[in-house]
Amino acid sequence: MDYHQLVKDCLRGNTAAQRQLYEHFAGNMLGVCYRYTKSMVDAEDVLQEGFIMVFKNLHQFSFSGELGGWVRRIMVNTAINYLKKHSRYQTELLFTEGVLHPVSDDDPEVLLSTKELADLIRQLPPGYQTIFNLHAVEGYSHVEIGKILGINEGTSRSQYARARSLLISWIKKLSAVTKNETYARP
Amino acid sequence: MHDPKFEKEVQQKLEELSFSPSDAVWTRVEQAVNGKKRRRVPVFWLFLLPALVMTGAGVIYFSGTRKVPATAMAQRPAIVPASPVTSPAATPPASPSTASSLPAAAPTSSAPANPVYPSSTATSAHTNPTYTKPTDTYRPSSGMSVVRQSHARRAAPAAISGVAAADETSGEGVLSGHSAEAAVSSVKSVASTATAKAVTARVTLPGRNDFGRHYAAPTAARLPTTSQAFPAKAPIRLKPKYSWESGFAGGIGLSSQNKTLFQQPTIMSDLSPNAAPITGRPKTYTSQVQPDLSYWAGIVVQRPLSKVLTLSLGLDLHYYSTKVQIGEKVDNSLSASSSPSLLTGQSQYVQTAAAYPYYYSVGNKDVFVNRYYFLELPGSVVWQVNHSRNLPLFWEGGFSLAYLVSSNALYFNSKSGVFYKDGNATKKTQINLTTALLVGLPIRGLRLQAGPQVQYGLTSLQSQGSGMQHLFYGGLRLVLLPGKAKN
Repeated sequence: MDYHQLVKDCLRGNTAAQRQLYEHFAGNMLGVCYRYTKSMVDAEDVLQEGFIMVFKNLHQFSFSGELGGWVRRIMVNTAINYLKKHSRYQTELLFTEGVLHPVSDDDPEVLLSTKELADLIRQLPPGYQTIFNLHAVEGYSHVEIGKILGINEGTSRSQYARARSLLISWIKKLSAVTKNETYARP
Repeated sequence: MHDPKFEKEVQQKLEELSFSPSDAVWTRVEQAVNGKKRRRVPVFWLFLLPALVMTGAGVIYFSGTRKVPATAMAQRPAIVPASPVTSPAATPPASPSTASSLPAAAPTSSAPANPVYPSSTATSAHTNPTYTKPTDTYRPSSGMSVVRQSHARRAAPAAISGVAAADETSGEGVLSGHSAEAAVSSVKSVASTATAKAVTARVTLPGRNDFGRHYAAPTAARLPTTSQAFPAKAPIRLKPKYSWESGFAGGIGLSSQNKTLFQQPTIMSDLSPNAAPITGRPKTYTSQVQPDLSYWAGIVVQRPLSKVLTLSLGLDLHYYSTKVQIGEKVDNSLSASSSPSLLTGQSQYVQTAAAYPYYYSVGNKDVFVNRYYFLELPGSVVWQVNHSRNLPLFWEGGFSLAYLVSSNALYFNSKSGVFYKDGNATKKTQINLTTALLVGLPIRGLRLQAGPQVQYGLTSLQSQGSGMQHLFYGGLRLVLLPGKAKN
């Protein structure tokens, strides 16, 4: 796909080009939004806001990087803002040291499907979920996460460690169940 | 430290995560992105359609009220004679002018030239039974539109009643049966006033005084006075707040020294030092001052005066340059001993040049660039010609006060025929007239105005000599204002 031409057409106000750009990225970006939110409705809200931001700021895209990466960053930022803005996420985004989970260094093999893994991540508390997504999936450093979320780097690290261990424990449990189910089948 | 294997595995898995969003998402995105553009059309029509309807209604209303009374009034002479007050003997004979003014509906009728008009009130019928101003003509006036309209509304029923009366009298009145039929046909034409045509000929109508007494007074009485209809309220004045905003301005172009607006000065000298000794008679030397590069830059502050006018002030440093062909450079200290030929017979040439360390003879050996650096204080008014969002046009006009900061310009003395530097030869203070046509180009939160500019020095550049030389600048003007337009 010729992104250069597509972006130019979008900037000219060509609705067909805008639709094409949307359809090209909407599926994957909804996956991104899905990971940060707790429901598909919220995910679609974030997707909508994100694409509005994309089209309104498309003139700022400099073609030096990938368009997909640029759109993805906007989606992630929109998702973070969405979580900060909405009260149902806001209360749980307070990164307290209250709940502690056992930390395990034993990395299991992820045998789950993509959807199952995403659903597991979504079951994490919102703070854990966000930090896990930002660090493990998006590749942000803890310093960057601290700046994005307005928390200390150390908090981000500890939260991530707990999120990770919690997720691993869930994966292990699920994997065991899956294995048992597999063995139980005739 | 965690093993990144888990993260990589998770990352890989989640890269594949994809869902198909519902159609409502795109619909909402499209509305949000392109909604404003689409909304303009209905809003535009929302205002335009009522405006068109009102304009059309106004045209029909006012054009109709001008036509109908003339037609209706012209019909009246054929109708009214049924009134018992009027008799053929009592009416004066029809004059050719009034007869010709009758409508085509009753050309052969014996209608009197001075018809009796039925009054709208019973009292006026007795007090003023006859029409006494046959020579008065219809003169449209904007102030009489209400009167005419009320008159026209009364014309048709009055005419019909007149016809009925004519039928009853059948011959005793002025109208014959034939003319009564003509009157009926004319009444029909009155009833269908939508198709009535304006009478272009002189139409005999009552005087304005009669109009006022018969028709205007009741109508005016029904109208509420201004104070009754609209109780006095303190007027609310919504004056927009205009504030100063600053930006940068600059330009580049060509400058020249003009004798008049478009005539460049010519340097002429009969004292060519190279030619005189050889030929024995002086050779006339001619050179024109050529235009050269000019540019300027500075700051500008603007304050809107109204929606279309903006006051603009600034502070600029303006560089002007012109080119002139010169001859040899003569060092004054050496010339007295090494070039005696130059001195012979050219006393004034030496006298003028002797006061300066060096000078240039006339000739075409070299090109000298006269440079002027002016500090300018421009003041202008910007008129926004149109209110286009994409390409707004601005016309700027004003004056600038300039002070010469530095110059290396050569002064040409036509008497001595030499170029020499003289700091006092140039007027340091200049007043310039400037104008520019600019087009607005919005660029990412900035307002760039660009367009051609011309500037003409009203004051002469030279403080000495008879040759008036004015600085002229023509080029591109750029004004950069941060932020979006506030008004």
